[in-house]
Amino acid sequence: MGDYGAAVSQKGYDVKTCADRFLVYSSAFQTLKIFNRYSVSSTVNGANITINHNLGYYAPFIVLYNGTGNNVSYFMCGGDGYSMNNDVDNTVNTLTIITPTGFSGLADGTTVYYTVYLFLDDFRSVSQNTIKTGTTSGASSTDYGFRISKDGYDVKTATNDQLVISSSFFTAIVHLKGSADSSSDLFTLSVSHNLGYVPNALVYCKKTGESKIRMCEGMPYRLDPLTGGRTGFFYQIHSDSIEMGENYLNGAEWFWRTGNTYYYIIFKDKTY
Amino acid sequence: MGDYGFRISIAGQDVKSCSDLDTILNSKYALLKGVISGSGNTTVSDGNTNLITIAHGLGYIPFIQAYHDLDESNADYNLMPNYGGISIMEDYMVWCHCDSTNVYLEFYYADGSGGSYTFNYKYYIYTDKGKL
Repeated sequence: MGDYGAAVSQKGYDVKTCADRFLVYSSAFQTLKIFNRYSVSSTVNGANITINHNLGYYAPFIVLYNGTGNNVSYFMCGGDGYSMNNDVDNTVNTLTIITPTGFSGLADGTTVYYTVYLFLDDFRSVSQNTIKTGTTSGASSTDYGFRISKDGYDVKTATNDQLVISSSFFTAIVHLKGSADSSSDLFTLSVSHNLGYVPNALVYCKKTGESKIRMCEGMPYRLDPLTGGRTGFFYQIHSDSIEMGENYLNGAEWFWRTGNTYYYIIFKDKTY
Repeated sequence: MGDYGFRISIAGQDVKSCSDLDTILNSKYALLKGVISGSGNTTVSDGNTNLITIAHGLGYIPFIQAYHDLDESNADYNLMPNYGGISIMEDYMVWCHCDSTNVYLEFYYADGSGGSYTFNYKYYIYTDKGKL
């Protein structure tokens, strides 16, 4: 296939020579698109929040806790820092948020607020593709570039939050995405990305026998503070790969669960 | 509203007829847009919590995301929030949050030895709102 297409670089980077991670958009790479955003509330130990999106496939999501005053934002955790990953799941049609007793150290009945991001993209495989790596170009404050607003907003006056894309900002360009099943109880599942740096990534797990996905988190060996049980849907990002797994205790020994399906998106963003 | 806008399809799909799922860029759906990213490290004394404050200047509550390492090597990164034991003798808890002025990264560490631990961290601040 010939060398055709379109690309837009971030401000201050030469679109012809800059590394892939400094592009705002390129027809060579997919991007993470926001299907919808939701502002929802519930009470501690109250009814579950359900969002019927009816996408018909497993889609990535992120939940932000906005506190009891709807005036802060915590990434996938309560105000006390404990992860929500076991309390948020997404089937092919419905996302559910549970606010259990003890959430964020709050009394039952306390009203809590959340912002939910649901993405349009699925986890069909996208093979890794690197066109250019490395650059010494720097950013520029010059006011030029490219921007597209969302439906219904004037592109000349729209706020940053009302834009689809702008060359003033970096975007979540997909380097690699797909799914894989775990088959070893002794080792984590590893997927190579070969970027040579630690990238941003989102990883979700569909546990064997279940029909929903949940976000994986950082730590495989921990005691759940609310239930007292062991949990651990885990991922860790390396400069050449990501590793994923669910750790569980069987008797006195730890194993990695087999038969789980992991859904991953690896972005071109560099994490350091 | 009329049928207008901007869309670019993935290779092999007809941009006029393909589903939204097969587009790279589509004015119906915004992309997640980052405005600030950064990194650093913080050394936490046994039994203490360090608070890192980063002014974002956006004037509203943004969407944020952060990572940290677990071996002081800056080589492997784990998503925040995270908590647990690095070994049987150690305990830690790290999480991130923000308001309309600042992003906050919190790092707790304890090992009972009176020593310290250095966390490396990385954060993304998006222009997209963290509270609608």
